[in-house]
Amino acid sequence: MNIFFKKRVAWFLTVLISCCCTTLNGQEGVVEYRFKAVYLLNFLQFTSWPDSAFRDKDYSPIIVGIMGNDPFGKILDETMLPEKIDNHPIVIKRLSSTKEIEKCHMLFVSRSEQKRLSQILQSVGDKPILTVSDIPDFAESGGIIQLYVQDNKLKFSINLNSLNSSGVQISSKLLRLATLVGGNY
Amino acid sequence: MKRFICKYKIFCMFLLLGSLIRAQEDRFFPSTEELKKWSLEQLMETDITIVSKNPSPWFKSAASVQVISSEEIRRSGARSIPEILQLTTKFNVAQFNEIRWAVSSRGFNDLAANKLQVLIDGRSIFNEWFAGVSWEALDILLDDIERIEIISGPGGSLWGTNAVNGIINIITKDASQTAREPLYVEAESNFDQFISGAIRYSNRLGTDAAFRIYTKYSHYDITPAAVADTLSLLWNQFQTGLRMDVNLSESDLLNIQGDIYEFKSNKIAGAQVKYQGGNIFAKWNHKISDRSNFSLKSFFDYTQQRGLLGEDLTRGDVEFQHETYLDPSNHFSWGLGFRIASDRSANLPEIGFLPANAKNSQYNAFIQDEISLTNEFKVTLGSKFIKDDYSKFDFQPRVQLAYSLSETDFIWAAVTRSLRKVSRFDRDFFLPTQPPYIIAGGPDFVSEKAISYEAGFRSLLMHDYLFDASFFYNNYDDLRSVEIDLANLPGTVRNGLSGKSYGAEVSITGEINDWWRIKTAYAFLQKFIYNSGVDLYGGAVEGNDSKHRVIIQSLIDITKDIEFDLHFRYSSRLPNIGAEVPAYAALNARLGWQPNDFISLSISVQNVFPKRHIEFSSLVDGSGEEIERQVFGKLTFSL
Repeated sequence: MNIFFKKRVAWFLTVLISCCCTTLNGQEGVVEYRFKAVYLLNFLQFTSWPDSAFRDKDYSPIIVGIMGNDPFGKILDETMLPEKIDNHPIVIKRLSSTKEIEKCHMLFVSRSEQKRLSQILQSVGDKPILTVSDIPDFAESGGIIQLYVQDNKLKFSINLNSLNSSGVQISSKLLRLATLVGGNY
Repeated sequence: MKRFICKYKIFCMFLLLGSLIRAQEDRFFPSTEELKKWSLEQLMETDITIVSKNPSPWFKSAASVQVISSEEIRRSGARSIPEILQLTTKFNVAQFNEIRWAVSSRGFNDLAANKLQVLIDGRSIFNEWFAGVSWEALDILLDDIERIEIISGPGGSLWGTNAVNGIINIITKDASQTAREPLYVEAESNFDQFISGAIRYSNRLGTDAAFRIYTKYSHYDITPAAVADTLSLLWNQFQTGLRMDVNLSESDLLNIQGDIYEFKSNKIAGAQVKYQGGNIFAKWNHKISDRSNFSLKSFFDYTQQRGLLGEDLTRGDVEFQHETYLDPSNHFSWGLGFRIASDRSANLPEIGFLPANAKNSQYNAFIQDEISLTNEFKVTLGSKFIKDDYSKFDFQPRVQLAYSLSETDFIWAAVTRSLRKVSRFDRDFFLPTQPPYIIAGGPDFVSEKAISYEAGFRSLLMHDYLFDASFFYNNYDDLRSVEIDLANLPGTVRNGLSGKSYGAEVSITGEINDWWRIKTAYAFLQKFIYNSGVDLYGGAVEGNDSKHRVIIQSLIDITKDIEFDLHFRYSSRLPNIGAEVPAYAALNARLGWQPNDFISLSISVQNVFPKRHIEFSSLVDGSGEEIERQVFGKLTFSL
């Protein structure tokens, strides 16, 4: 009898809970990577690639590759997909092998790839690919842009040697805001 | 200074552990759209530390979830799935002897605990015929595991039957992930009677496919010269399998996997036992559009058991699932499933299943709708429907509410009705197998039922500490009883028990600094079983459960290459009369060294203290054995 009564209460609550509702909308991700996603978008906006990097130099998409475990989830898609960089739409690819790197314009190397970093950078070689990562010492190791947190703020450093050999051009604005590593300008 | 901050953090951690509900500060969290409008200069001036170092997609799940990562598994020194589950208090794991385990969630722990569901990549390994999991026969190359999702409490409508009190969802790595290290070899020994080795080869097949193949063998032999043969323990386990992942097109993904295994032991309920079997599993994912996709999966599983009671069980399963966004705030999913199981039981004169051969077809379906009412508030309604040859049509609905107080604070609540399905063990169990019977099956047995009320809270404390708390109250009805009236034989299996339980699970996980991670967890359980009939065991079969459990796990990187890990666990006494087990506290330790990218070495000590202790006993299976201190050495090589 007692249990029967409690069941009724359970159902009553169930119905009550499902009836007290009104408006709409989605959900949010984690702040650190939301910032990083917006930084990546900014980097795209301040970067230019040689024409040879695109099949159609005006309309081909800019391909952003993510190497390793994707720390962004939906965040990066939400940040980038609605945007265009001078007519170029943005396409995000989650890469599963280093062979796919060469198709990318920007390569984000996830922290999960720390151990394979040199192998990945070797695959990038001198190709016009803007490499970005939040792996510690990424710029020192030969990557182009490294994101890091200092005093609770998200900063970035740029390796000028890597940048020069890649053939990618970065606006002086970015260079101004970055901590520079290697080379001299 | 840094030291001081450290101490301060720990102090705060404990302070906050005491007060479950924390005063809210107003924090400013700009949306992605707003951030995009900011200049880089502005962005670079903004404090972002209000964020976890371990962003967790499970932060906003409206259930009592914990995820064990492959890193935690590696650093636990565990050699089996139950040992990995000891890393959480969401499940209660007690070792009975060297190979047998009692594993359950929210009470009802027993060697054949039946109110849970265990899945490997979506393939159920819960034996619905005999209502339990053969933990001793479950093996997997632990390095293949990407993560284990552990849910205490009833599953949502997406999960299968029997997920009354908990779900263990083991997810293995994609073959393209293991293909990064084509060769993996591991060897482990306790420098005495135990030796285990495994080898895995993995590679890509062109740009769109990858595979892996593995073999694992373990051998254990402890036969002290002075003891009788029945006290010796010998087991062998062999397993081999493969997995293949193929990108058929931009929107089609195919996953095929299979294993075969053999497990032989001379010590399960005093008899020589052998399990053999194999399974094959295939899953096809198709993306219809950016807002909609479906999956079709199927598995076939064969198990043969020889020993005290023999059985041959064949299971086939097909499931279809479709999910779609009806609009941005409405995520709808539904599915259909069919399962067929066929069993041949090799009965003994004293005990067995009648009829010896049986078949069962099961049809199931589910629908679920996840509605975001506002940015912060989400409601999910769903139900699973089920019908099989053993029981009439039934349903298992769940309503859950999720509310984000802020980007770092989340609360949820849910009400669920769930079922522990009728199994062959309930319906066809006979003692003996010739008349006159003492127990003559359970012709009137119906599914066990539970209504669960849950609520939980999650918060990121001081940016680095994930605080998680969940509370539950469960009401059980129609629990299994074995009722024997000596004046009126035969007795039968009936639904004579009912019960209730309530409790809490609390944990704090976080990084004290770059090189030290810590996890503390506590679980409390209070359970009552009411015996309205004349149950043979007075309800004691429904678990022998401790009231308090604690774990503390510490992972320290001494240098970049050296790891020092400690794992402490405590369990209060097990109360069942005739099967009491005193409270115990135990510590495991591990030291790992990775001299280069290819080799890693580790030494782990299981039970640094106490030297020996008992973890589990039951009225049916008797007293558990003393679990002794053991030292294991492990070497892995990968290329």
